[in-house]
Amino acid sequence: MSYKAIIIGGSAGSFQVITKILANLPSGFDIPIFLCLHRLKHVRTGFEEALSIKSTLPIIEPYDKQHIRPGKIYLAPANYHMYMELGNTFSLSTEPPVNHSRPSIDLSFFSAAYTYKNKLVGIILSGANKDGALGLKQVKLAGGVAIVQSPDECQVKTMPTAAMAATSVDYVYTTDQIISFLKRM
Amino acid sequence: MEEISNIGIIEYRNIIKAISDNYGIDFSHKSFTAFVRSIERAMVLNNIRSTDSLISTLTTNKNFIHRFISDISIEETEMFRDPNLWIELRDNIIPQYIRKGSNIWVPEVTSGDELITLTIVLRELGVLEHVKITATCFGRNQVDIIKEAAFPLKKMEVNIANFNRYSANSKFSEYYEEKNNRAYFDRELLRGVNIKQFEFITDEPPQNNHLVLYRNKMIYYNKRMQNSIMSKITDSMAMGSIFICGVKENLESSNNEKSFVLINENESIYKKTN
Repeated sequence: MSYKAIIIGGSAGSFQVITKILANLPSGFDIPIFLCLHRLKHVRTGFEEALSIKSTLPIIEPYDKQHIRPGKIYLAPANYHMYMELGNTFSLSTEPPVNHSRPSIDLSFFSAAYTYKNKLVGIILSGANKDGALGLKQVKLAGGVAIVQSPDECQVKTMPTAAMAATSVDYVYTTDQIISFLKRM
Repeated sequence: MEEISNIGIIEYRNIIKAISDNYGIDFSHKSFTAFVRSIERAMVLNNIRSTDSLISTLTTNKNFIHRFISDISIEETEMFRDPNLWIELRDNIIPQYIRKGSNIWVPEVTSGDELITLTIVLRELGVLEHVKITATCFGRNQVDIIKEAAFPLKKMEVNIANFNRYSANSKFSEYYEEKNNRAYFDRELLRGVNIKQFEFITDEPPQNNHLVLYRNKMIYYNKRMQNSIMSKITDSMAMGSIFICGVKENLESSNNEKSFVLINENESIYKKTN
């Protein structure tokens, strides 16, 4: 199976996991990765830069209607929902928060599932609310692969636990296992 | 939260066709995901359970369209969103580019958060009474909503936090009164503002604008419509005037990019030079 996209959602306790994943991806990794992480909505700068420090691949906060390219990591901007549309472009939205969050992980996962169907890998990491649970369920319903970070390893296990309750996930992985999985893709 | 809808591409096109056939309103240029969500929201609000039922209501009940347009519109998120933009407007853009008699256009106002914010900034600079502001909106119901200048109190927490980042010297509470769980803003702010219905495809925009504030609205259109809207906006602007879009919107790859120079990248502020 060849995958076209990877989407990762995370909140409290996910930053170190994400940086470790991004630091260990091979530099030629050519599947686009979408990061939807809960963040302070009034702080627009700094997050992209912090994630970039150890990342082997460029990290971009996309503009509306920007094209999705291989080999790039895309981070949902502060105070916008991020959608991946048919035709390989982003669109952004300022609709009300979902699960108290803008960007909402559920909404990003919904749009990615609709666009990429069974060519998508969805991963839910550590976090303190249920955002992402329905999104991961939708990834699974659309035929994609559903992965959660092992709750035993999470700083805050609410998010992966909620995702596991919402859908039968394919893999429960530690950070190292997630990295190995991505490297095999 | 409701789970993902069953509105697939075919149902989506059927809904758009029904609206176009019955009312001559073209929604085919909307950005797909956000518009699907807007339609779903309108269906939930009106207790409509299927797309067939929605199409039937749109076709048979000719008054429903006004309600529908109101329900699909996406509220502006907050006042003083991106406080640094408003600081830049207050400290540099308005003093430099706005004169007595200048025209300001705020297209596609929905809930009015950005319009109220702009009028507060202009009042604090003492120029509100000296400029001509036109605020346009898509739906008939929205004109009254904007004029009422009333906002749910639950939105005020973020508005106050934003305002405090914008200004340490004035009090936000001077601009509104709390009543019945809403914040009613000083009607004087909007007294000189011309608020009217306007449709980008069919209507003529206000002309000779010196500032156009159009933030986080283009995101709801596809690229083709964005280009067509920007052509109308560009034509409506005076030479040397200012265009501001959302911080994650830009004019890159727009047909009208060559008419502008980007003078503040962080806040997406452009100057018309051509």
